[in-house]
Amino acid sequence: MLQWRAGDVDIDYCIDLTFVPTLNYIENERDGVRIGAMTSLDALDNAASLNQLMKVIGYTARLMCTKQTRTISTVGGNMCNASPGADLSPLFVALDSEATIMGSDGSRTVLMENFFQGVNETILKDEELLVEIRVPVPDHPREACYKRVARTFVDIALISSAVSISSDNGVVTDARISLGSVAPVPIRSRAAEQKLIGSILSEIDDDILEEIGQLAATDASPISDIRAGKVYRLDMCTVLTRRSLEESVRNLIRKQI
Amino acid sequence: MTKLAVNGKEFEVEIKPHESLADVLRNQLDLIGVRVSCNEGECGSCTVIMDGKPVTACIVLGMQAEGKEILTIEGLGTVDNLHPIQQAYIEEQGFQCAFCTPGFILATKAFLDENPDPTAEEAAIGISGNICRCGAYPYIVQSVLSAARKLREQETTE
Repeated sequence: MLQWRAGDVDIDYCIDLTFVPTLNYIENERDGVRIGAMTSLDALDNAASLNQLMKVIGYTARLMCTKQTRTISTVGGNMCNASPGADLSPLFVALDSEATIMGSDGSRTVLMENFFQGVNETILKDEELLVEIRVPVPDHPREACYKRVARTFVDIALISSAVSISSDNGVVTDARISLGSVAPVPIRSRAAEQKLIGSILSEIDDDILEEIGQLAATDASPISDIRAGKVYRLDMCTVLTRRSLEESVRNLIRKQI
Repeated sequence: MTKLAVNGKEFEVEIKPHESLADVLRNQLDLIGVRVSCNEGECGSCTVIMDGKPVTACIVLGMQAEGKEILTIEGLGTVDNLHPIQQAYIEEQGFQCAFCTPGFILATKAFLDENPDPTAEEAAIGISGNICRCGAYPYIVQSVLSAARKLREQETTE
């Protein structure tokens, strides 16, 4: 709406989805949580007590904009705007989420990792609509954490890092690390993830946390802009990944005791 | 014609597709307590309450308010019969120029409806969606806490 008002986008037709109630839901199922595209960020915040998965999603939503705009803004809008600095994008990527897209030829699903194609660009074709984000519950216990650097509560992330790890019998079985504001789209740090998989949770000490943070920074390619410099972003990439991982590991160990 | 329910009354207005709720309320219903400052959902000055939730009226389309209950500052209290939150803002001097005050008061109402007994920190976060360029924040936080006390007292005496 802001881009429209500023004349940045030229719209011939606009279809308002406000009055489509079937796109506004949070469904908690055994194998995952399904979130309708028109669910407000405020509704995510309010659903934080639903389960452990919604806790991290709700917490992240609460970091975004202000109360009186969270009641208006939707998950689908946040995803389709495809800002590299969007808070939910790295988290959804780290949580291995998938998008359900509906078009005139039926529906298809794509991983959120592949949903973003560039700054303000998504995989959506003409006549297609994002209808749902599905966040799966993995086979093994999982913990996830999202952290960002921003000037104030209501600011956009200068840099962000989302970590999600699963473990079985104290050994990391899966790890996903996603970084925001370091590339045109949220990226995954494969190097850091590979390093983590197979690690023994209780042996992840400060040195390993630091090493993984550094590995994440090697996968990042941030730019310098008016909000932050490249060197600062890389430094913070290491710090945030380290902290997110530390918190996830701690919570996962606690969960297994 | 679109039907709007504002401050307990029904109105029928003609709304252009691009018109914001703030513009409709101000220009067609003369509710100029809806203060538009940034016009891009950043400052919270135009906050109104829609179906019990605070919204920045400058980035809600007028048509999106169809069938919803809207409350503006004009519907909260009158000069002779102030709402406890308004009373609290006056007593605690939670403003200087007062341009932002209607938005602050409505944000306070929505916040206290969710959290009737906040700490000072919770109150500060609760009104963090509103900007006061005079910087009256410490007094505004006191106003929120005072309003919370007044509302709780009212609740127990009723």
